[in-house]
Amino acid sequence: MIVIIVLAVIIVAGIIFFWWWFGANHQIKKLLNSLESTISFDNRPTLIATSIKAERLINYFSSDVALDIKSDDGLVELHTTDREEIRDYFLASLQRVSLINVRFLDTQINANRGRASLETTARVRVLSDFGETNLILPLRMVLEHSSGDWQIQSVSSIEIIKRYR
Amino acid sequence: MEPAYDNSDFNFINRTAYWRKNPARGDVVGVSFTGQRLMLLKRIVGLPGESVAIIDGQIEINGQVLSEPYVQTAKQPWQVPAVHLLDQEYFVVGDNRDTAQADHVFGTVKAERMVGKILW
Repeated sequence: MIVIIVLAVIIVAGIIFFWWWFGANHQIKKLLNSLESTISFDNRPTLIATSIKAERLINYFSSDVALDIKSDDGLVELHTTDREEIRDYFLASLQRVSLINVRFLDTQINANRGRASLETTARVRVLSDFGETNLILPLRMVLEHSSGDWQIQSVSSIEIIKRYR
Repeated sequence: MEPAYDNSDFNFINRTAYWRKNPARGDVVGVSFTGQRLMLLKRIVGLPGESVAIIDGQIEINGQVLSEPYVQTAKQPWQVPAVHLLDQEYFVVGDNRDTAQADHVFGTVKAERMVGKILW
């Protein structure tokens, strides 16, 4: 009897683990963690490392991606529907900065049948010749699940407080 | 939010404060970005349906000057033309008005972004 109970508990735990591990929320959080690592670096990467990062970056985005990002202070502004342009923007940024650290915090995911929308806050720290810059970017993303992977279809800034300048 | 609340201080927010009543003018509230970890502390000065303007740093609600004893710094001459607040919209601003208008995060916020009222 005890063996049956233990087996039942193991099977239930296995099923829960399976659902959690392969669930959309976990997969998308893994994607964001991976994206953080790809964008971030402590020292200016070598040419090869830069190329690898740039090529890897493209694969996070779908071919019909739309980016509409603007920070409150205007330091970051990126509007494009071309993922090649994302790579170019990233490569151009690498020329000017010696450190980029990106963390996605407070991520709220809403996934449903191969599509997901999420809100997250990107905390960005940049060191450049002009000094240190810290940015907080609330973002909304839409992702689609295709060919076994999640890809980012759109990224747009969220205006938490509508400002008047 | 200085001098009432110092930067980098540890504060507590009552998340149940607005379960049974609406936010009120003068309340210091937590405005969340996208979740529970990052938020701004701001003071509510304008309520839904009101018209808020800032003239030479002085806040006016429906054309009446708002008394703000909690502001203890010299007010910079901020200028904001009248803004009409819609339903579920509040006008929030920090107490530290000695900063330049462009450097201070203030304006209208949806009620859904306000997580609660500060306790201390």
